[in-house]
Amino acid sequence: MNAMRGTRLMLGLVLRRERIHATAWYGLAGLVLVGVAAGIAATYPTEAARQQLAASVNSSGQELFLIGPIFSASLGGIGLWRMTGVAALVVSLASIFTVMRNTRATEESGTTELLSAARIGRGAPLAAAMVVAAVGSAFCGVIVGIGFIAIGGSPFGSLLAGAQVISFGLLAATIAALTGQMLRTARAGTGIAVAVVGGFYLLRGAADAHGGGISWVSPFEWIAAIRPFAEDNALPLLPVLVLVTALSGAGLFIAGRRDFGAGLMHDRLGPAHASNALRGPVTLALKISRPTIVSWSLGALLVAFLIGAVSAVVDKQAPLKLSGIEGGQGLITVVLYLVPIIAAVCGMQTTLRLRGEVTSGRAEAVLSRPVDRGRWGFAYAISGALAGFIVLFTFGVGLGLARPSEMLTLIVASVAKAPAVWFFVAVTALLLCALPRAAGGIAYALLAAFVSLELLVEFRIVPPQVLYASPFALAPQLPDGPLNAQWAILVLAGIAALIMAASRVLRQMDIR
Amino acid sequence: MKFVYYGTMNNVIEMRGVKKSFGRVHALVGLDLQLAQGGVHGLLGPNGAGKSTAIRVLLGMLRADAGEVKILGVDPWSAPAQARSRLAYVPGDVALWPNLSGGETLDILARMHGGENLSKRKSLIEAFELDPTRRSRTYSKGNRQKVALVSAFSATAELLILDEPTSGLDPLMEAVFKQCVADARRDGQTVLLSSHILSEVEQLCDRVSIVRAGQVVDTGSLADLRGHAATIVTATVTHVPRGLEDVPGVQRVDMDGRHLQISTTAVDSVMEVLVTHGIETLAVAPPTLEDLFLHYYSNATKAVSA
Ligand SMILES: Nc1ncnc2c1ncn2[C@@H]1O[C@H](COP(=O)(O)OP(=O)(O)OP(=O)(O)O)[C@@H](O)[C@H]1O
Ligand SMILES: [Mg+2]
Repeated sequence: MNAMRGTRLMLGLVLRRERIHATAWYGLAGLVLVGVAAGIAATYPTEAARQQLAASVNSSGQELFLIGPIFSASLGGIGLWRMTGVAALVVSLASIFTVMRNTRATEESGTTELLSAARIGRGAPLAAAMVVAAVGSAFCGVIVGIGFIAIGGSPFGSLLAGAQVISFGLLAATIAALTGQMLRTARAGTGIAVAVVGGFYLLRGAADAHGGGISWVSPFEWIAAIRPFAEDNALPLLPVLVLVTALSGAGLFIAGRRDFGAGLMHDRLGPAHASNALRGPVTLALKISRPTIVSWSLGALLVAFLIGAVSAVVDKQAPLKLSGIEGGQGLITVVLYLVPIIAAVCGMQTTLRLRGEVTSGRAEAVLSRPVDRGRWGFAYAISGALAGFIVLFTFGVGLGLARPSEMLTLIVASVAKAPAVWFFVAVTALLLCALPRAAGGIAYALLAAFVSLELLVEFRIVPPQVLYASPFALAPQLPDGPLNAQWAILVLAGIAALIMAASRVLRQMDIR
Repeated sequence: MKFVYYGTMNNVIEMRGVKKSFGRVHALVGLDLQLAQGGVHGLLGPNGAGKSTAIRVLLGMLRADAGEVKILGVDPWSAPAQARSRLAYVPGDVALWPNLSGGETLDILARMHGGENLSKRKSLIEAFELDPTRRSRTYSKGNRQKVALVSAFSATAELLILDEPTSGLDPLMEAVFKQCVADARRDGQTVLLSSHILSEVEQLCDRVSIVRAGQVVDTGSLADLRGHAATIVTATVTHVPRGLEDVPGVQRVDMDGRHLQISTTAVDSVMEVLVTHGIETLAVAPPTLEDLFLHYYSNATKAVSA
């Protein structure tokens, strides 16, 4: 096939580019998954304790919704249960980023154009990126398989657990392959792919909480149906493979036919003049981030509505309590604890756009004009703070739409988490000034570190008090938990300090 | 035409001994550049010479490691942002916001600048044949360049800094650009023009500074600079002279039997030698701008600095 010409050459190139990046992502993902599984296995060392855990999980709607049922009370079985949600998330993200980085992103930056003259087929970059994502997923799967054997799982079950991880990676890679071809920007492609994976995960949760009958609705249920350590049934891998083949085929089909740089839709003309509101760097940043903010908010609204709708059913069953945190009970409290993490990602992503302004050279167009450095430097952080706030707000609205009688309470409870989100926006802003090149990586690593504090507490590796170092734990735990007003003020003071430090560095730094 | 005096000197740009390093890369090593008010000043130099770096230091985006920098009478690093309202800049690599239309981009840039001649913008858009309703993403490289040019030329400014402003323009648009620079000069604006295109420099610039390896190696009018480059003397002589290489000013001698080609900065002394060896044919060619460039750019020849 003509479109595939040069795939091997491309593969060499992508492998070289991804040598460290993809290896780190997939390798660390594998190690984290094994760590999570080992952690819970160590927490429940006896068969009796595990049986008890399985019984309580399988009768708890929240647990079923958030993670899924425990099929086997063996060491491998509960390790697998605890790991599955994290696996679906991190391996999927690794694959989506890897594919997008090497397809639409290089096309946007113009690198692909350099190669298109060099007898490289139109489908070759995509094919190469998918191969790399597949190899990475396999690498991660092998780590997980070996890890489960080490934890004490049966060899065949461990093999299938590895196969599940690989399935998550392949599925996400092919979803990204398709969205990356259909949409014109890597940002949009990544967003939609993440939304699809998130949708699969939520549908899986709804099906598990609902119990029986609709388990086919999400491909994640197909993967779960393998049930390693219980039924050890490899057969459900088949429909997963069919779906993966179909999606990648569709991606390659589009790649071979579309114009360079194009999506499935054509560009419309724009206005000949800017609206009066567009006056300086801050309003410009807001305008540019608007599509991101709108799509994240719509996603939050939808997800919150789904969770709100399920929660009524779920909360009738056994209540779930957050480990280590003084908070209320029930699914709503749990998701209200998780939503600022998502909002923080949205806010940080928006804030990090500043770096793109510098590397693209657009910063020069602004800074050569009488524009204050501070206004320019914080424009995207302001957008990010606003983006996080709006995501929290719409999430509260979504929950409220499902439970209209509590609408106001839920909105307040969600919005009250804003200081935690702003804290990470401010950290990102400071990093962008102090270590501009590494800012993105370090910022997300910090977020991940704070999130994993929870796991450390859950596995009793550190005492629950450690959570008081986390802005997520210090935020108000409304509606049922403490207001934590003094802690929230402390976090706000920390944010002010971060911003002050950032603006000092900003005035001293070279823009390059 | 208005005259503004900046302290004791009325130089629009004043750089003395400016140094700038990026880690181990020494981009500027003691760069000196002075621009008096008015006229068009060319900045020439090979790739990586430090032209764009010097410009970014002038705009206050980079902080000089050492040396003195003044632009329009103020230090660009410590001056308030407002000081930049008196200059306009076209970057070497024009990047625009992909989702904004050309017209939106021009509007927002003008509002950030704070002063714009609207009728001039309109006529520039027409002259450059720019469609302001197209989204920047769909612009070709030349069209993006046009957006930056229209924005700079329609801004009210005393100083225009143009970093390779014609890259991507077709010859017709280049002509429009040259007209814009001529108009700017007529209106009393000072122009700093970094360029690789010799004919453009020859046509537009009153004075030229040659930058090499982070330093200005020569400054002057083109006529002055020509004086520093070698003249080519081609001759056929009856007797082949010896020791021509040792005559002061001679840079290179090519011999093919009795045919000679000599590159020299001192034509007189070469002629004295040739006359005594029987000249049969003789041609003396002044250095072309290309020769001048090769003279300054090539690493083999030592820079002749003033
Ligand atoms: N941000 C940066 N980081 C590291 N090195 C840089 C940076 N910017 C420029 N340099 C280096 O400084 C030197 C001068 O670069 P500069 O862009 O000023 O050259 P130039 O004269 O504009 O070249 P060209 O004609 O190719 O535009 C080069 O060696 C370049 O690699
Ligand atoms: Mg340059």
